[in-house]
Amino acid sequence: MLIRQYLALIMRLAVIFIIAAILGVARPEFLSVNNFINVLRQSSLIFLLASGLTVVVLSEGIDLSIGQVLAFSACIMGYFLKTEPMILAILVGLGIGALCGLVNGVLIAFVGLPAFVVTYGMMWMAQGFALMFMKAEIIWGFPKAFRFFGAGYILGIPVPVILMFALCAVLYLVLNYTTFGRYIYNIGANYEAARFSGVRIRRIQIMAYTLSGLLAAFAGVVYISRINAVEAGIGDPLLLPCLAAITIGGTSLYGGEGGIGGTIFGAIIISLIINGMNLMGIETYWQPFVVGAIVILSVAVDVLRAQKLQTT
Amino acid sequence: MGAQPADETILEFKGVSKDFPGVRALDKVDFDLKRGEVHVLVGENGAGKSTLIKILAGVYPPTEGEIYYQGDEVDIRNPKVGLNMGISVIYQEMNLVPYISVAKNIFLGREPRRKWIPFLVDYPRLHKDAREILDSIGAEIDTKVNAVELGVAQGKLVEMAKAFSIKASILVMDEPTAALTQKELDELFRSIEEFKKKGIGIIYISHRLEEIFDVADRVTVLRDGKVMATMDVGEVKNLDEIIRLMVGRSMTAYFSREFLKEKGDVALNVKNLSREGVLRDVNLHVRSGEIVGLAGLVGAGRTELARVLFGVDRYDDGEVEIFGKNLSMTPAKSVALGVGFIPEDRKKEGLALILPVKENVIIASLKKLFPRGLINPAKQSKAVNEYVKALRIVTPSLMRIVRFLSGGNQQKVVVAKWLCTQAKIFIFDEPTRGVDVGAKAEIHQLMNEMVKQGAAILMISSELPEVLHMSDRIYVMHGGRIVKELQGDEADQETVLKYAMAGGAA
Amino acid sequence: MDRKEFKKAFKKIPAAVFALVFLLIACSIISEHFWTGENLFNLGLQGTVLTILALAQTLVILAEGIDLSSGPLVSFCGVVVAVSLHGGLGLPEVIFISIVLGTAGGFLNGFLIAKVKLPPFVATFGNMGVFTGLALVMTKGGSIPGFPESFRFIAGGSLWGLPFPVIILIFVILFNHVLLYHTTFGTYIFGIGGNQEAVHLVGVNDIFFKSAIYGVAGSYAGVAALVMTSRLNAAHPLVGFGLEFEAIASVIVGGCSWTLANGNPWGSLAGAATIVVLQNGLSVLGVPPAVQVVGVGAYLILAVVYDSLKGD
Repeated sequence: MLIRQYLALIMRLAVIFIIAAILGVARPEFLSVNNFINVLRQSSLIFLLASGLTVVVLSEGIDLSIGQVLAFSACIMGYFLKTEPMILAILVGLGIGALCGLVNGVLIAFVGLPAFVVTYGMMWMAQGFALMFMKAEIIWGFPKAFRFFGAGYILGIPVPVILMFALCAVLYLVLNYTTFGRYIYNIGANYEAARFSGVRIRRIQIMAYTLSGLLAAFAGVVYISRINAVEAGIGDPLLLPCLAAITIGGTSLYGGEGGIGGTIFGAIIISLIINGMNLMGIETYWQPFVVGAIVILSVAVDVLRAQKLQTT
Repeated sequence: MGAQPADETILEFKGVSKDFPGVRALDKVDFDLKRGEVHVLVGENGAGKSTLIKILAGVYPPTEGEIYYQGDEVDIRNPKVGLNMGISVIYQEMNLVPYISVAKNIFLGREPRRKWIPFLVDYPRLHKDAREILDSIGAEIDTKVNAVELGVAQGKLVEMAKAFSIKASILVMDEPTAALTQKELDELFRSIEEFKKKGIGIIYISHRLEEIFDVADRVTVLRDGKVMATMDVGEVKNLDEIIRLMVGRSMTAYFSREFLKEKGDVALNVKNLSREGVLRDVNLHVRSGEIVGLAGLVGAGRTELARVLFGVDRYDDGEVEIFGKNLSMTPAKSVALGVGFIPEDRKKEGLALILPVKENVIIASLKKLFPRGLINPAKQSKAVNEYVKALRIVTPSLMRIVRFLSGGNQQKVVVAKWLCTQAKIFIFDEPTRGVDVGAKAEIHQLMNEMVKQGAAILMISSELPEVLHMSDRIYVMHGGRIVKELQGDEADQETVLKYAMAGGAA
Repeated sequence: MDRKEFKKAFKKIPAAVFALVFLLIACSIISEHFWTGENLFNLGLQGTVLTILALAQTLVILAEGIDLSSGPLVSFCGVVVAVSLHGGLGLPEVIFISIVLGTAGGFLNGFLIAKVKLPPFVATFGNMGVFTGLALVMTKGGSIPGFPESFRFIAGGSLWGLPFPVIILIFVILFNHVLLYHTTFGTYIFGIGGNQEAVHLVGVNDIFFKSAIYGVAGSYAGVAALVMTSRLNAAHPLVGFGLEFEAIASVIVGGCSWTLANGNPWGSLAGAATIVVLQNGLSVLGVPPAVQVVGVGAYLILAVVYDSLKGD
């Protein structure tokens, strides 16, 4: 089992090296330190948003609303940043994210609707609220202190990248060394068995979706700090890359298998691909197509692998 | 078809085997079926009955052996081939589509089409044909209602009509009577007579052994994938003979229990428990230091009772007390009170198959061991190790994925989970289903140890010798009620079966 | 009819029917123009696309699936239609192309779901990216305006005093009804949603028919794309964005359930009608279109909560 885990890791590293090697040969500017940092920073944004979704997916759930929850909380955060102290604005933003997640969790755990329906509905609700609030305007130019999260550096390393590794470490510990984390895996692996073991499933589900909303808002902090502006539509193209990062990272959409570590690799691979497409001069219009195809392919591999496992 | 001689063999299995990973489900089975006869297949759970009919229906291919149909060797690659040959199977679970009409269900896949536009369903003919078929088996069911509105017995009749409509020459019925009342049973048997008269060969699988005398012409007993005997029903002297063949071991082959003279306090006390449509006025108690067996046929309400006791399902009326405290309604609270449940289907309800042994053992104890939510890995491993060792679970490491363990070891992992929580009351639902003989004895010994250390065990088992051998006392269930309480020493197979089958009315 | 039967019958009425009555009354109060011929004509025009997509979604949801890609598929078909028209193809050709392309896109969904056995939301979500991406690539992100008069008749013309799209809609409703209730395929749709095993065991090629359900749904999207493109007299790669949400909402408020194929297209029609009227009413109140989604979402939640409260 351990060997298999390492094998998966090695394979992902190999993919990264192969892509990097091809790009390095084709476009020498790819190998610059600047570009390297650029890729890492891009992956950090994907990872931050995908991290909460990873937890939800491990519990055999799905949260389609993260992109729009990010947008909605970021819009309100941006508005308050203009008038209120930074801490307050951030707290309000995080609170809104968590609240959206909480609503998702309660509807899924208590009303019994499929998660993809509830979170898909939330996706549109959050989008609508964001539009209602912003009225197609853009808020830009945030205080310098706030820009630190997205555009700052510590020892030459971009802050988002540091946040990515820090958050990954924290979630790794949460998933592996807290009862909450183990319940997540158990619910994902076998919902009924977890129930028959006395796990309070609804409570854990609500916590997972709330966490997902909260982390989406946290990703929003870094995101708007980086681009120094916010508008209602910023969340729209974000979900597909996150889903791709998670599935490439080896987390099964059927729950219980995988982990947060894989999502970092997935995020880096996706960023490399997008970065490579940019460098090769491929139009950005191709991106949804490519990322969508990657999601389908990587999940298909996961499904076929699971079927093979069941017949042997 | 009906005109052909009744003695003609229409189906023959020669040396048919079926291997699943790690298990030989069928071992060189010879089996045959004649026109117009009812051939009953009996055997314990896991004896290979379902595998046999699934091979016949084309759901599984056999690993080896030949199948002859009307004298020719055939290859039943998929259900469609089976159907075209005239093999029709009525499975144990409902195979109707809920939100289409009875008529459409009967002709599913073979709908009559309109002559001039071939892809349109010819409704008048559909309903007319369905009506005729239902009438011919004596079923008064409206062809236009949706299947979801039917009761269990009506559903079975529709499935029979469906089988009938394909002009089957072989009809397989898997546990058709599991949930029927006496009146419905009579109706079913009458329909079976109709089928026989038309020269159809019927393979009939049942848990209710006494039905053999009602319907069978011949009986075949399966055990561990092998045919133990095939005999004419006239040769069968009594049920004991069949039971002996089914069970195969004399009672002494079982682990011998040490019965405690001094029982402890009442651990689990159930008063007048009812749940609509499932349980009626159930009273029972289990003391610390005793194993109480719960016997009954499939569908008698035993598993349903266990689920209610564990808080999975609600009850409408009555009381459940655990150590004198009233049970609240969730599994989480039952676990906190010291109840452990070893479910019938461990793969579905007992284990997270894709997770390691460690994870499966510790899951129910996490809250108790680590009330602050932070896991201490050393403490966790120590706890898991203790029970893995104590139960002699054979696994290369605690990180072994449970899917790769044998059935017996998997079952021990489920037991270890509850020992780890320091549970005091254990509900075992079919504790030794699907485990091999050696592991079975080990699990029985384990249960023996557990009660010696003061556990209270309620054991549901369909294996009569297991119930008789392991229990201090036995409750027999029938139709959602407890119809008889027997002391361990006054119970024997005949008595238990008599109450289980007839509810004591006979 | 005694009380019990009455209660049972009452419970069968989907939330959408009550909502429709309520909305019609509310709209007559807030707008004196509501019942004018002109407004009704416009409602029919606007409602056609949504209603067609709601019918497509009904088929898919009856088969225990979901199609998140139907909006983007409309955009994609629209773009291809525009390119074909500008390339000089005539009306019959583009009608053929749009429907065939929609069918093919739907079959792709169906293949991934029925054969590869991806969860429906993943397959269709991935294809959402694929279709959007292809549409973006073909238009380079812009829109393609200006079509011949003959093509504009699809949405702009009228026949027997009805807008031509409404004629198309009536045709689609009839087609859909015959398909569901008078063909064997329709029986298999209910069969696959209600008990796929049973369908498989009677020897029906359940995998093919399950794929075909998505194929038919895709062909409806092709029809919707023709109406949409003709109405706007332009094709845009993001024009269908979010239509699938309104379509799914229509089906859910129309009382179709994900389990056991319990539902019918008439509920979805009522659902689509309520959403069109709701949006019309919100427009009268001055709510911008982008924000109307919040109203749709709120309506959806109310309907779902109503359904879960009335229970069984």
